[in-house]
Amino acid sequence: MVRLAATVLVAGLLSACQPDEEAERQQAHFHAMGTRIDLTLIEGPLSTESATRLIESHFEVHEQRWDGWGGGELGRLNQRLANDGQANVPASLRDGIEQALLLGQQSEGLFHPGIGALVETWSFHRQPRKAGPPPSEESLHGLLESLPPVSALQLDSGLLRGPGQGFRLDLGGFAKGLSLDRLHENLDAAGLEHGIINAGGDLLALGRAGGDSVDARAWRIGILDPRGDGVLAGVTVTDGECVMTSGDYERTFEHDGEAYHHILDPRTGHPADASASVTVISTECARADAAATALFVAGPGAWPELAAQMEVDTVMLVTPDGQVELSPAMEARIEFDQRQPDVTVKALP
Amino acid sequence: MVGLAALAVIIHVLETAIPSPVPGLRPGLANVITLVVLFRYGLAMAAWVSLLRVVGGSLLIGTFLAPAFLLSLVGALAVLLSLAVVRPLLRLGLSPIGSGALASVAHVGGQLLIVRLLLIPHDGLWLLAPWLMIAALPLGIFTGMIASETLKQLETTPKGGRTASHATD
Amino acid sequence: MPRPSLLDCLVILILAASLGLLLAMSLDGRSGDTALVMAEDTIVKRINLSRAGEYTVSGPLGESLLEVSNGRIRFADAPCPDRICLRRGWLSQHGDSATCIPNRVHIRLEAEENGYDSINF
Repeated sequence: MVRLAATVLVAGLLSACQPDEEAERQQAHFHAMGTRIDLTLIEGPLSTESATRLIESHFEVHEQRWDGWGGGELGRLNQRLANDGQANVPASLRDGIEQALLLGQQSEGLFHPGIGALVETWSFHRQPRKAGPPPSEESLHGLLESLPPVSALQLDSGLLRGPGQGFRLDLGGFAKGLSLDRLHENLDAAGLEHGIINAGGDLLALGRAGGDSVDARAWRIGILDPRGDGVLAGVTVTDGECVMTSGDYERTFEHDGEAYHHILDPRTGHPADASASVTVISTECARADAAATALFVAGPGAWPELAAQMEVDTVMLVTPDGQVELSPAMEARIEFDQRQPDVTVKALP
Repeated sequence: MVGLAALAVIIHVLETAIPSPVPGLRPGLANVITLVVLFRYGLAMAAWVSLLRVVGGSLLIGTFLAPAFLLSLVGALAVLLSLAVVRPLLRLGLSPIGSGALASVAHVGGQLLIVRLLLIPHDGLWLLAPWLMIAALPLGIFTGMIASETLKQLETTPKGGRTASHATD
Repeated sequence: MPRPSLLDCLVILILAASLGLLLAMSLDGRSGDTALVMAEDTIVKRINLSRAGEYTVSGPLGESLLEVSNGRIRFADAPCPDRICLRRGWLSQHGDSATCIPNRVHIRLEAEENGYDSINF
């Protein structure tokens, strides 16, 4: 009896200690697109095992397809562009490249799909980056000279003309978002209703946490602090929303005490230094991805206007000294977690 | 009976002066009275007295229906529940000391539970919880010994009608 | 001085044992803390800190050695010249992090139950 009472007491206390489990949630992960893909899936019409296989093969295809330096479609296209100065864009790439060029124009070239040669000069095209010094001013200057404005890049009935030899596309700030958009369509069709696909920090949320159960709620996403440890802020996301962040802490290297990161300013050829990170939420992942890159380059003064031009309204920018700037739509749904930063809300024009 | 409840209220009020790592979490010294009443008058009466104490005490401190009231109430309910569970053992020789130890741990456990659920929804609390409950154990033994001693004194007075303060004259 | 009965002692003993067990679980499990290990910008490992052990992570300079014990993690060895990451010592709090910049290895502690379903960065 005593034993029973004590057991009941302790068991009661212990069970209270366990975090609430959402029973049917499944976790999986694999590596693709140069990063780790983390899946949080809820069983629905499509089993989580089938969903995992579908997502894995999807990313395999897109990793191949959008690698500008590999043996896939974009790699081969780049090879032809570099050699001949022009190339026919295969059907599988056409929509994506057109969308990238359009977003590039909307961003006034701050997201520039044509900076492949620049990226290669910085050795950012391979992960991990080959150790070595940053490129010389002269070589950057030469590449900037030959970099055409985005508006000059057009698909003419499937034919893409570069400015000359050595030109390459780089869709690094876009391919992940595009892959998530396409994946979203595939998963809708296959019958996965609830889950999160997190591709190295950039993620697509489907449905709700808890699935179709009565206590289901919106997924909660923590956004890491680029200038501190842990989570800076939390947002809840609705079905089909993507949360994309560009940060100066990703793919960095150091040389002679100087730190460099991979988000290049197409105007200077150097890593953009006006922002620490930009987070964009949108139901169009590719748009959010490109916008996060462009607004990061634009920096504190210029991002609101560019956000309006690129048709994104939920934006957070963290400045290099850790201050936070929010669009009104982001302010309405974000909650700061561990520190309360200096927050400025900037209306979009 | 009323006198015992009044005494419990006084202990309850005095206890709020003791600092606690979690605001509102109390060691439960008023359990002395609950134990005394349990062993002298039974569980039903103990329940009445402790609930009377919780309501009366918080009315006096001015925390009636405030979080601290809720904590006292949950603490008292946890104590009563734990005592109800071991009631069959009383006849087999479980004294106020063992009951007090159990009641004290249940008191803190119940309060921690409600703190976690309603007031501090952070799992970091569970790192503190075992320490608080371990501290509650000797404290409970101590309250049990006081209750045991009080009961011995009360043995000399006939049951019913008389109050504790008279009994110890 | 009232004396406890045999049954009292039994009850107290069982209580003490249960609480000891509870304490051990809370110290050991650390409510499921996880260390996120990143090489370059890629998460390469998630280490559950409730079990002691050693892990190696490869970077451009070689292998960084991570040590886990008592719910904590640290860089035990690193091929970087300045070894700043070693001086950072043990990490035990949620959000604590240490980075070996030359070898591109970053560790960060996160709680599984931090209330977020997924982390964006």
